[in-house]
Amino acid sequence: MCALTGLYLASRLGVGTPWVGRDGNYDLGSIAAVVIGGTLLAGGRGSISGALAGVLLFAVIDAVVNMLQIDPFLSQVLRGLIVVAAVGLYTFRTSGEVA
Amino acid sequence: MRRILKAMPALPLFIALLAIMVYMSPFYRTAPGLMIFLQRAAPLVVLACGTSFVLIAGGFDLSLGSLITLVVIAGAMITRGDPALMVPAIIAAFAIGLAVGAVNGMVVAYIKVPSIIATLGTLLSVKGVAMAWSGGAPSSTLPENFRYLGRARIHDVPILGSLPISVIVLVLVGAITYWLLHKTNFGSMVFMLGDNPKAARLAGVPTRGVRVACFVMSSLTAVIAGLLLAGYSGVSVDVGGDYALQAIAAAVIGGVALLGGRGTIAGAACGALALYALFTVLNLFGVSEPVRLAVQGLILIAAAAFTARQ
Repeated sequence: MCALTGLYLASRLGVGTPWVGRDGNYDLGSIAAVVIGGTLLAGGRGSISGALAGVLLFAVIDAVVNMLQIDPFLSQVLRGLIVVAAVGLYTFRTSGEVA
Repeated sequence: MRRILKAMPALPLFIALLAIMVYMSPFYRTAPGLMIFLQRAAPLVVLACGTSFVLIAGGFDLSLGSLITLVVIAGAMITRGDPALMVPAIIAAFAIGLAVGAVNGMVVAYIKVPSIIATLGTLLSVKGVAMAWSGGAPSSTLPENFRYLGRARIHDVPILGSLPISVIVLVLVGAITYWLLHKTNFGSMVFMLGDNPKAARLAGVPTRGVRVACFVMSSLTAVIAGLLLAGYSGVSVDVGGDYALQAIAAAVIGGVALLGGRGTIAGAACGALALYALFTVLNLFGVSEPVRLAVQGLILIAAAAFTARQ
C-alpha cells in the first residue's frame, strides 16, 4: 500500500519534472522516490508519512534545483548524492550489519 | 555430473539455447561464429563474475550500467581520438572504477545505507557526471588502440581461425575471479558475510573491509566491461543501459542466491552465457525489444523461484 502511494505520487512528480532524457531518468527518479519512502517505512516511522516524505524530498530537490537554475545533468548528480545522504542520515546510527 | 550441475545450474539451459542457435543459423555452426558469440557475450559474462561478489555478500550493485557509460565517455573525452593518450585514459578509467566501488562499499559498510539505495544514488550521480562531462552528446572518437580489447582479434589460430581479444579477457577475468572467490581466504569471508553477517563478524571477519572489497571488485569488472563495449560498439551515452540488471539476472540464473551466501563464478558465467544465448535466439526469431525484456523478466523470476526452492 505504501509502495503504491509512493509509486503513484512519484509518477505524478516524475511527469511534471523537466528532465532532458525522456525515459531512463524518469524511471529511475520514481524508483528513487519509492525506495526512499520504503526505507523510511522500514525505519518504523509510520507508513504513509514515510512514503510522503520520500516523495516530498524529491519535490523539494526538484524545486530547489529549478530555482537555482542548475545544469540538469549536474542536478542528477545532486539527486543521487541527496538520496544517499537522506537515507544515510538516519541509518548512520544503526548498529549491526547492513547489506 | 551432479557436482557440475550444482555449481552451474544454468548449464542445461545454455546448452539447450546453444542447440537452438546452432539449429537456426548456419553462422553459429562455425568456430568463428561461436567466437563472435563469445565476443559479444564477454561484457555480460565479465560483469556477472564481478557482481557475484556483491550478490554473494548479500548486497546489490545497481551502479554498474552507468559506470560503464562513464568509462566509455571518459575514454572518449580524455583521448579525443589521440592514440598517444590511450594509457592515461585506461588508468583514469580504472581509477574511476576504484573510486566508485570504494564509495559504494564505504557508504554501505560505514554509513549503513542499504546497498540497493546506496548504489541507486551512485547510479544517478555517475550517470549525471557522464552526461555533464559530455554535454549529453559525446562527439569525440576513440582511438583504435583504446578499442583494442573489444575489437581486435588474433589471426591464424589453429582450429578457431581467429581469436577475439575479448574472449581472452573473458577467460582471464573468469579465472581471476574464480581464484579469488573459491581459492582464497577473502573468498570464504565473502561467503560467510553473505550467509550470516553477525556470525561472520563474531568470527573475526573484517566485515567492513570485505564489503568494500566486494563493491570494488564489482566496479572494476564494470570498467573492464566498459573497455570491451567501447571497443566493440563505440561511444554513446546509452552504452551502459540496463547492464546492471542483466548482470544480476545472469548471476541469479546461474545459481547465485539473491540474498547472499551461495553461488559460484562458473555458475554466474554460465548464467550470463545462457542469458546472452537467449537474447541471440530471440533475435534469430525476430522478437522485438519490449518482448525480449518481458521474457528476460519472466526468466529471472523463474530462476529466482527455482533457487529459492532449493
